[in-house]
Amino acid sequence: MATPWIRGVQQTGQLTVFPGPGLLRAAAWGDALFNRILDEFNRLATVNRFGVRLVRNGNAPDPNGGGANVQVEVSNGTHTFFDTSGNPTSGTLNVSPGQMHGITHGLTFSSGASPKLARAFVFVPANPVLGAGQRGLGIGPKMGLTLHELLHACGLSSSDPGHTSSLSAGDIYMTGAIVDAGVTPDRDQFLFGSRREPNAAGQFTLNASTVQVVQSVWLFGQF
Amino acid sequence: MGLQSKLFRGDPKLEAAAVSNPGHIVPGASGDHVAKLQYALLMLGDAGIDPAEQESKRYGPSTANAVLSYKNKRNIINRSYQTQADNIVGIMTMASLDKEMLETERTPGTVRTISCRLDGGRTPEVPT
Repeated sequence: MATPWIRGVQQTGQLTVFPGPGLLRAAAWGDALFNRILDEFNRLATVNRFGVRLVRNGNAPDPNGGGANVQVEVSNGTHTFFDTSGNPTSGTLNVSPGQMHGITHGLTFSSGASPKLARAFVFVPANPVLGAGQRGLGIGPKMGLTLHELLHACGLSSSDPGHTSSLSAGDIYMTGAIVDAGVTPDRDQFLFGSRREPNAAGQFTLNASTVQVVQSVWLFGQF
Repeated sequence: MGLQSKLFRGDPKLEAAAVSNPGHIVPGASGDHVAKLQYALLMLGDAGIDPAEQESKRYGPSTANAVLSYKNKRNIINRSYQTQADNIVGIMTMASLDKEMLETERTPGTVRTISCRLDGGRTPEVPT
């Protein structure tokens, strides 16, 4: 079941996102790709009436209050963030060559009946590659992986509809895709069942079930 | 006794606001103390705060509105000179925010971790 953000954030209809220094430095990622990912998320948000948009923020989440709501950073296997008490903690993201693996840590507080998200830390592999000794993944799959994790940062959980199903035409919220390597990296795509993503314009499509979950916590504010 | 919550305690401007009228924090202020107030208002209140004001740590219109909303909901009014809540952070507001933040901090939160393999364990299809 999706977890809503604290009401003060939900009311803004925006999540502020800080790109970590490692992400901006990483050859496989960088500033331009980060902006492109935010642009694509916001395009999807407009087309599908998410009720939430992502806004780039220059301040890292601050354990003493303030800073962005969400941080996106790379992981080389282990990474650090802070817990609900503001204390440093670590996580792991072990990614073997050929895997498309990301992780999202959400800080939740239970003020009242149900837990609410107050921060989220997204980590993606620093240098995802097609396989052992093979080239790096193209932009499309990297965008898809990050968009998937950003949906988790919005509050969607791994038990929400569409996450683990084997739909005949899934979307980026579905796990169980195949990376279809193109002749060149810019032609790499995901295969979600019969659907290829992104399209030639670099755009993704979401299923109605995924959109409904996002809307439930943002547009309709289920608490 | 000074402020008790981890978020606020030891901050000179917030400590001053909690005990003296000249220390009140008003629209137009900016800095780390404003960022802490904004974070508390987001955690405890119902009104959103413009991300631009959050990034600049500025007590702008949406922060002022969040303060007013917070005070209205809790009926924080200094009856000695006013009949309705205002949008400044004074002694009574600091006391209320500090008390509620302390309660929030004492309620253990949790880290919800979601780890996903989009490839689902399948091997990439690489052209030969």
